Amino acid sequence: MSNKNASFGALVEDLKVSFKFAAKNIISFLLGTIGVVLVSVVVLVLFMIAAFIPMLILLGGWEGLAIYFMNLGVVLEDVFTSGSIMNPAAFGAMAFIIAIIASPFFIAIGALFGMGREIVESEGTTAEGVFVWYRKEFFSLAGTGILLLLIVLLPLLMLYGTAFAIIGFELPNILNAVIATISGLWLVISLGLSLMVFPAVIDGLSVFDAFKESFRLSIRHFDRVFSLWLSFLGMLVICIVPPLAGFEVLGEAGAIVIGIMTLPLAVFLLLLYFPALVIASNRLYLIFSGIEVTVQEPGDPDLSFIGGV
Amino acid sequence: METIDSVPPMKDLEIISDTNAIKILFEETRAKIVFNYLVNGSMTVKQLSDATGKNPGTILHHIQKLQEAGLVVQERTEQTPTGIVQRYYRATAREYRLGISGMMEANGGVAQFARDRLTSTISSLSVYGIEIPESQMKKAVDILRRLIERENVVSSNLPISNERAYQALPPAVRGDASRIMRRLSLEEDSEYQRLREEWHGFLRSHRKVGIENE
Repeated sequence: MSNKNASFGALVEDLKVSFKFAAKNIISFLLGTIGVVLVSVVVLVLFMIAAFIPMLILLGGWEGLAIYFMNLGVVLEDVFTSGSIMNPAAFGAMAFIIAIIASPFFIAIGALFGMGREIVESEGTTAEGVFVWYRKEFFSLAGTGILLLLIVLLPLLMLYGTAFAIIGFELPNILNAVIATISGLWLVISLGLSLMVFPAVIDGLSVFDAFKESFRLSIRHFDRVFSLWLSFLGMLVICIVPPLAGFEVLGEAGAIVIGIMTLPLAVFLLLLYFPALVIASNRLYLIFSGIEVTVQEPGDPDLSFIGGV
Repeated sequence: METIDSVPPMKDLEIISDTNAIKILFEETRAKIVFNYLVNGSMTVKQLSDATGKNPGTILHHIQKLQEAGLVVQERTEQTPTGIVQRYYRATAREYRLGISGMMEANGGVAQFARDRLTSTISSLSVYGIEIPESQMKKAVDILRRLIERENVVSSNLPISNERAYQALPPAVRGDASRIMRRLSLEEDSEYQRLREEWHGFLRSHRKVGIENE
């Protein structure tokens, strides 16, 4: 049987291996995550400075800059309050700002997928390895993150924007529930289909090819990819729902109890859950995109008798 | 399930004439990966990383460049009992030669490297008593370049009547058979014979000491 096929045993094995490898590399992953987040903050600051200085010159100093930000505030207010979310100019400005701010962090997430690749191939990694991925795949990972954001969020924005534009901000409960359900389904499906995008970029594919490959592999191995993805989502729900429900039931009086409950869950999510998800998606990508062959028996030693006869 | 047929068979000799591929190989680690390791068999990124002392991320980056240049292919993917998924890479050929014409046409110092290399090879013949004066060096480089080009053309185009049986041969046997047939093809190629005679005649005419091998 091909090792690409789905079965309950394969799902259990995928989860077991992912969490086992995540636990083995807990320190490397934690240090890598901290390091890469710090680097991302520095890169973001540099981005801001790079954008800020030309703006300062172009807008004629501090006064011009202040007017610009006031106008930007008006545009953003317009986006959020007047139902003009479909206004292309306003939406474009928003998307651009979000993309600039988020890019370094997309690269950080992608670089962690690079660590995941190393773990899947060798059971180990080093914290400094993450910086190699950050540097070598800088633009590809940024582009992947931005495109992923657009693919996941744009349909939702269009859905809500259309509903707000037609009905207004006060949606009827039934319609609200329908849109929320559709949105939830879209998030699950689109993120599931994109599960192997970052592993594909790490494997050297271009941004668009990585999306195509991830979609292709996810559709072809739908059962195995989505059983794994839904298992991870299920775990996330189990981690998040009890504290939220507890807060709902106990109110502020139970805040300390909930706080104590949340801390180990947060640690679990950060140190085990996220690395395991990264490792699992890398592992699936390598299995699905790999070429399976029967390993040949070792033959005679590779000795040559012939020179220039 | 993909079969072994989906992996391109490993050639015995490949002439690299693409200038981009030549430039890619001018990076030390990439050259080491191909010529020291992957021509001899398939290896994983982890194994290459351990062998070269480079970070796995760096190795994978080089592998990607080599794949783009058509010098390396993914051979197979294996899962170990512990859950590790190992991807094996190998070179597309057992032996590579840099196409001299491609190098001469390349920029970025590659053409100069090729000229310098031919010149220093010819100059080094002085240790065997063959002294080629500076005024004759251009001619010597030209004859040798044409001879190498012809040898590459003939050696890399051996007709194989049964490709499947050829690929099934043990590597050592295949290599020996290939060398025998390369030699035969060169002996039968009149253009190669003419150039070799010209080259040998040129060398004989510059032999200074009394070495009489023929």
